[in-house]
Amino acid sequence: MTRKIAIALVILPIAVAWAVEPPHPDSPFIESIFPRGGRRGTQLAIEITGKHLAGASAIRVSGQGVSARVRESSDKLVTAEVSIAPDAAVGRRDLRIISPRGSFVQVFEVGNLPEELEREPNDHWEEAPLVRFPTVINGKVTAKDYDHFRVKVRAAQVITFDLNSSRNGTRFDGFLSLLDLEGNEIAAQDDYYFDKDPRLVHRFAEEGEYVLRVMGFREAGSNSSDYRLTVGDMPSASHVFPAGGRRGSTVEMELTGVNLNKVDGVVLGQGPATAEVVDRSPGRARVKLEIPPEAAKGPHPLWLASEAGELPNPLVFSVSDVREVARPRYTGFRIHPPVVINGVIDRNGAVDSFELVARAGETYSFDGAGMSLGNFLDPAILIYDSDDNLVAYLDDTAPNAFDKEPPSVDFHLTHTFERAGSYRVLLRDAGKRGNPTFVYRLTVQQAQPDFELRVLTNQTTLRKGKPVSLRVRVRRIGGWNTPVDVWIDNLPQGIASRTMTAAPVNTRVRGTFGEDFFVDGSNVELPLEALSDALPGRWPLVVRGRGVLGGRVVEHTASVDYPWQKTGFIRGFTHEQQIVLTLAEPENISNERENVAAVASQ
Amino acid sequence: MRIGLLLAVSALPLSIANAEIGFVDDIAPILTRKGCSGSNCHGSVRGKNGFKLSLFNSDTEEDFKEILSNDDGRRVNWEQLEQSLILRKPSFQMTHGGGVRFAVDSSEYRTILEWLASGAPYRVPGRPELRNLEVSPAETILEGPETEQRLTVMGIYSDGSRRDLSRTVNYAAQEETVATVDDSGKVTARARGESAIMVRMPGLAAVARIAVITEAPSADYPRVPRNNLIDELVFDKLRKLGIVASDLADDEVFIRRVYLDTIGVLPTPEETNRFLASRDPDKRGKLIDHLLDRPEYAQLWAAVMADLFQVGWGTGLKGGYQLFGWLRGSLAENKPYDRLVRELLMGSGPFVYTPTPNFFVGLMQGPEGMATQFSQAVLGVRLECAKCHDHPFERWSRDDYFGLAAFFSRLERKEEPYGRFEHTVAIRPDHKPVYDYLNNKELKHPETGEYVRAKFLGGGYAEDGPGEDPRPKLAEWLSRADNPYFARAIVNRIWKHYMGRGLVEGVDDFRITNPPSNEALLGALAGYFIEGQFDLRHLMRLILKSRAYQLSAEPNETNRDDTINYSRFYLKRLMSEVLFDAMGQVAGKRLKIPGSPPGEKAISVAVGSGNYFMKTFGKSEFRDVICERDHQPTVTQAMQLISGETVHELLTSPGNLIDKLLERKELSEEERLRTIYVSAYARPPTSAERTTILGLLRDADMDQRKAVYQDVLWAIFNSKEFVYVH
Repeated sequence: MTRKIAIALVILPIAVAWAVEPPHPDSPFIESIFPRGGRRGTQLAIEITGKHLAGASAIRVSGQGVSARVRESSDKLVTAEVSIAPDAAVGRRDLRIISPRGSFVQVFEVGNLPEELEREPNDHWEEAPLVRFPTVINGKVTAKDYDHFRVKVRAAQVITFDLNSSRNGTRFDGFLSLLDLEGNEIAAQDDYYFDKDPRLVHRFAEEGEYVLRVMGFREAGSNSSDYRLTVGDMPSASHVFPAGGRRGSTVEMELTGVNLNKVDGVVLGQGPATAEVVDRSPGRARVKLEIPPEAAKGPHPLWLASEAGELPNPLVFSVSDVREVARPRYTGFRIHPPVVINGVIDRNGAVDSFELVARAGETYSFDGAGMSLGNFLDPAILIYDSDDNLVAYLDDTAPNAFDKEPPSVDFHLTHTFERAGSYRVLLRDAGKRGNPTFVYRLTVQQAQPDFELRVLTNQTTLRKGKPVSLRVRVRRIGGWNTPVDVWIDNLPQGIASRTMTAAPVNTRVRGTFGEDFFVDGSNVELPLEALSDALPGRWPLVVRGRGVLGGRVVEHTASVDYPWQKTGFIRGFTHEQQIVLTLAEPENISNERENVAAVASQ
Repeated sequence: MRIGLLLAVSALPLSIANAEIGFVDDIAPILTRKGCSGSNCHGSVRGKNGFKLSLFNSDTEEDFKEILSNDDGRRVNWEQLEQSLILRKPSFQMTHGGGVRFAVDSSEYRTILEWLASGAPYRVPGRPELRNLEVSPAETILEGPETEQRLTVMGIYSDGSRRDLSRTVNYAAQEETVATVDDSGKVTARARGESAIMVRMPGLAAVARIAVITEAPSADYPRVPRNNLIDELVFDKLRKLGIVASDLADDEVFIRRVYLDTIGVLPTPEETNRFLASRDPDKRGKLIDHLLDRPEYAQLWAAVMADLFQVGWGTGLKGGYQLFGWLRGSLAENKPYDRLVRELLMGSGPFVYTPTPNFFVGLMQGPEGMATQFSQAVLGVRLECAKCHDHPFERWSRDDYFGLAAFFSRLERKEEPYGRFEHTVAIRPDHKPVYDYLNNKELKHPETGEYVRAKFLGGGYAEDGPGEDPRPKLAEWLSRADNPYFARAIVNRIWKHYMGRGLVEGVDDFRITNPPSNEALLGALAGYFIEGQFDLRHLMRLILKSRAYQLSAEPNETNRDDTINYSRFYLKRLMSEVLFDAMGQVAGKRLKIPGSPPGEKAISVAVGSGNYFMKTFGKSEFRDVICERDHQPTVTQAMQLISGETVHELLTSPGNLIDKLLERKELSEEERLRTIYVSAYARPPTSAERTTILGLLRDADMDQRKAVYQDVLWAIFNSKEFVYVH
């Protein structure tokens, strides 16, 4: 009998009893890292707070050029030293804390600008210390706490105050106010980004000193509410158009924002794309970007660069491998798939219209991206036949998913055209809103049935006698409609699992009031159990999936997502792209009973 | 049965069988006039003794069935018509809880009998439909009790014809202590005052206003200056009523009043002193212009409108903050009101990140919820009744209700597409003619079963193409000439804010049977507002610069009982936020409000009651209904002022005004006292006040003096003069 069959015989009857297992309650959990970033070419001390951190033996930071060493650890606190190489790439990294009980990932940011720590007392505007910009201030806002910072500005100077907290994995809902020296509010900003981080851009009419106040919305805050506040008159863009291009091509893009007369170029991802500034003015800059042919498909951060190097808060730039078109408006534009159409829904009521000629039975997929480009467009697609009948309409692929899922209002439509003919395709905002920042990308191609695999966590801890499961999402695209088998490819010695099959039915989740929500795909739970001969340790896991459609076998390796609502509200692919399985020591449970009251029976 | 009817009919004299009597035009009015379908009889919710009529016969079809068909048709004896219950009961030929409604030999009895004899038709074929009622005189002033006036009621029909219905309609007096009316339309004055006489036919109503005065205006009636059209119309009416307006309020009263009403803050002592010392004959006008330009104006009116638009209810805290900030910004830039509402009406997108979709509070109940909200908040009409039945004595029908709902039928409230509590208003394309996306059903008329069509309130249908969002048509209608509601509704609200009483009370209850106290004035103000391009400050300037606004609150012999004609200024209790901020301003200490940064004023709190003090004085926690704040005094409010934490904190906080005044050694006690009084009342202490308080301060040590000043401030906070705008 092969080992696999033996394992299966053991597992099969047990699998029925397996339900979804949450992470072990005493696995490490990071609530805050402070400071949550640093400048390259520096060393800094950080404090990691959370739970079950005792015994943390190592800290691993994804990517090149950043290393960390644990100095001390206790249940709620780990202190560490971080070294950032002078040539470390800027951006967000995964910081994984490792202990015998498991691991946990939070994020850490590498920047280019000078950095400083918040200095208390600064609770009152009269106590606000003067800060020189550009700078990144690392601070914390506890409940009912206020942090004030004073800046000295020139007349007509435009300063950006960007608070990064929720985007960095906290649950802090920050609020920025700009005050004069009498404490009167001049301007305020609450939610600029999806994650509720604020960004206040202000043009100062008069020279002088002003105070920026950081607080939590409705005075919320905690010891985990760390933030990085970028202050400066550096270039800052609200959007770019087009927001993508084909690899191997040169794209001329237009940036819109402030202080763009100081922009030197843009950096795509980690480089080495070549960018040339064509012209620039304070509010706009045109840049030519050569996208390397080997650039990976999908979204990349697009950094603005100035004399200081790459600047914080990159935009999103998406790379494809099909023909691309970019125009500000479309009226009856003839679509020749495959194509990516870049457009802008620039004013209320605006609708872009296209023409698609289809043959009977042809199936096309339409992917509308707005939110995934970082803006508040809520794209909706409508398709009318030549008799003006509405044959397809889609707003959200998985509507009303409540908080079970990372939110997305972008759509993926797969439509089979029953009749041959010319069809009118419209794209608009679901609420018929419009705004110059509502940049979109519409990808139209003949449907290629396929599936995506995503593991919805980047770590799990196992103990003998306490099996767990790994949740994997199988997302069907282009009309894929057959089952997909999913399994863990590289099981370590003594760890057992089994293949699970995702039926082609979207998973239904019950809401608080018994209502049904459907996720965009099917969830499978891959069981994991430690066998008797398993030894404590730590291993990376690889998850794979296979499906067959129309005789074609398709296999994929799963990507790794941040666990939703565990790393704050960070969503999407992890930087590290690794799932770490920890087999922890068994718990020591004492069987001694002390001070037990004896109940005398009569 | 019908054969029996024919035989019965043929046996009757020809004079009885009358084919010209129909239920709608002839019988239903009898039932209305004689009180059969009143709310305390068969028109009540459950009817009486198993016989249920619609209230005031508003639903003649149902009443027709009730009399002739329901309960196996037992109310009509076709064999012997005169034995029908419908005749015997109201003529008290058998036991009837309602007593005698008409005699056997009355015209009403004969009419019903003839109607039955002629086959009891619902309508007489070819007869025009009654469309409207006109009462004349529409306004009457009766001099002295027992004086009389007969009303004439003309019915206007669908073919343009007119008919005297004076003997057919139902009359009811609003205030019988002032005037009564009999079945023939004769009005008899009873006591001084004002009232309305309601005139009803099934589904229609009209009103005549009656004023009773005790003596005609004397020849010595004083001539008072009139500053603008408001004064013309207010004082004209007062003259007719023989009421003499109070004198003009003095400058001390005026400055405090206009500051609080316009910008929600007290004048500082410096501002007060400068104003009082000024000899500029136009200083009041200039002050008004200045205040309307102050940034606090937008702050105050954002708070007022936040109640109207239910800011924060059902859209979450963040959405509430968004909309509140947007309102403040719109008011600061003096956005015309029609544009402001239009932008709200056209809002869409996520509540948290976009201000205007937070207007769609009612969308939680679907398009019908929006019909209720929009009609009440924007048009000043309570349309809710018409959801279930045609309004009994107003013109609103279910067609109107559902027609208004249809304007919102393309909207979808998306639940949390951006995350928890982050709802969005989206617009669906047309795949059904009209759809209620919330309740997942087609929006059809509950009676006809047909798809509802978007219909302007009291007007025609909107042209609506498939897939179109009909809201732009509704938005455009707001400022159209055929919309008699929009301008009047907001003008009335603003008028009430300044004058203490709406021309129509309640401000969201415009209806035929709730007429304005001065229709000419309301119409003129609405016209002024429209001509002024819906400029809010333009309207407010007119009101503030009128003499009527600037009258003293002190009554005289002639106007002591007047509560509706603006012959004097009517006291108003300060809005809770304004009161809280005013107390802080006087005490020199702005108390911290939970959830808000230190120093933030209560008037800036977008959502939530702020604190217990404000909640006690009427600030809504949730704004879950559109209603005016209740400013009736309560024991809890009194206790808050007497011994509440807020007052205590203000009086004892280190560094407050008392501390600051005592630190200034160069000031005399008289100067300190004057500063406190001028801060609070915009006037110095009277000689009696001064004598009493200075007496307590004489020979007092520092602690004792502080205690005296704390007591003074406490007494001020507990005075009506402080808590009210007067």
